[in-house]
Amino acid sequence: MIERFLNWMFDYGSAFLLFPLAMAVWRYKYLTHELVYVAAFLGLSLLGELVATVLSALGINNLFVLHFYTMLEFSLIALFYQRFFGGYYPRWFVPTLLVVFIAFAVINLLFIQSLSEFNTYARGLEGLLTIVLAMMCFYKMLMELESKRPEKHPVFWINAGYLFYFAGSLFLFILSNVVLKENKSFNFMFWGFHACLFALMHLFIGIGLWYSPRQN
Amino acid sequence: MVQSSTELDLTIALVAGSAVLLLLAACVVGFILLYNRRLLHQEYAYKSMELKYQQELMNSTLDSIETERSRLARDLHDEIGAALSAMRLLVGQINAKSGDSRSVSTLSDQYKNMIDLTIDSVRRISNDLLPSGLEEFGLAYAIEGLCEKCMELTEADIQWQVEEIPDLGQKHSLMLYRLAQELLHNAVKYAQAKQINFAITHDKEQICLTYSDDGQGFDFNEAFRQKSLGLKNIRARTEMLGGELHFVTKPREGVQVQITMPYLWSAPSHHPMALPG
Repeated sequence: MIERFLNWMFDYGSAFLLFPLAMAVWRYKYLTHELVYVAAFLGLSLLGELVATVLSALGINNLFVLHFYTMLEFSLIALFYQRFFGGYYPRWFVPTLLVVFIAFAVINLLFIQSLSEFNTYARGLEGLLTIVLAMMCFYKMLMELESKRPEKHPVFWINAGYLFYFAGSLFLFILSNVVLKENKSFNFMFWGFHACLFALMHLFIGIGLWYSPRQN
Repeated sequence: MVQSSTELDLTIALVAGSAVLLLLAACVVGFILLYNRRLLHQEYAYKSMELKYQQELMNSTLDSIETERSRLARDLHDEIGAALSAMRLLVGQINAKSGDSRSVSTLSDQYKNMIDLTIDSVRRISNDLLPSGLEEFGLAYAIEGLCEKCMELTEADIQWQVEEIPDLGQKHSLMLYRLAQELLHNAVKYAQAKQINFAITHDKEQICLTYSDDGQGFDFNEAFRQKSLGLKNIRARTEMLGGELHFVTKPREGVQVQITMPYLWSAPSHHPMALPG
């Protein structure tokens, strides 16, 4: 039962991306400040999915896409947090994390994990840094108490989405090269679980965009 | 065998991943609960601050009123009162210098009477603004004067007992006097009572003002809702003294009032009355 569900998620999990994309189109007028970077993140997700699917259909190893995708993905996530944090934390903090991460990802690409491998180290570091940023985001919200209903604040949902996805899939990223050597059925289950996390994150992002405030 | 062992490890990793997800979900729920709790605390602190600000505003307004009343009372007494007395002397001189002219004498007597009436009015107004004898002889003396005046205006029998309170201070004495004045004036105006009892007593910790009458009473909530200024004044002054007010009254059942306030005059810097000006 679980296996069937995970296999189904592996096949169709990407469809959950349509919900936040639809929300982004519907609410595009109200996507300002940090939400702009979330919309860009969704665009990147869509592009990544399309490129990976096309390459896979053509029988080309698409793992090299992930190396560049990881760098762009974390850049957009970092910009989202940088904009939301404003002056609450030292302004140099997030850009420094971003520069360090990009440098690490490039070194990893050139010297450690080649384009035909999973960039497990970079993905792992991305997961760790995003968890730290998500925690800092929750802390800021908790200290500032800007919204009377946190569950109606877009950043709450988007941040929870990032936290769930990156904390949940941290081990998946780290183990991804090992899993590739396992049998196909196990791989489907494994990436089916990843698809669940992917779907959850995008559902949360969609809900967050739903609550994007109307600008007066 | 090795492969199945790895598979088992990975299955454990999947289970652990699910557990992490559940933990994260619990953390997010915890975040919302904590957030709401902090929000409640913040709202409570904000409301307390607002209340404190309003009370300070009320204190400073009442303080300003008393200062202005005091200035006006002194000006009336010192300037208008003195001018009227001088005027009376001059009118007396006209009478003396006019010889036997009866018409001038009658006119000057009328003037004298009018000036006497005006002097009385000025004295009464001045006394209402700043109770006579309060500064010089203390609270008990001033309230005794107030009760005697009220007895002239009503048929009720007023029984009073006012203890002298050491180190009470001018402002607090005046505040207690105003409370007594408000209660007794209300009784004279509306109560139609036969018996009024009034007392100010104290012990080491608190001062207690008690008032009762057997008059017609009133619906307290209705009166408060109708923005009775007297009742609001009593409440505001009680709050200024850091005290508590208990009003027991019903239509045709008289009125009982008890005001208790801390006896804190020895530490004026912690008291709400210790405002600048």
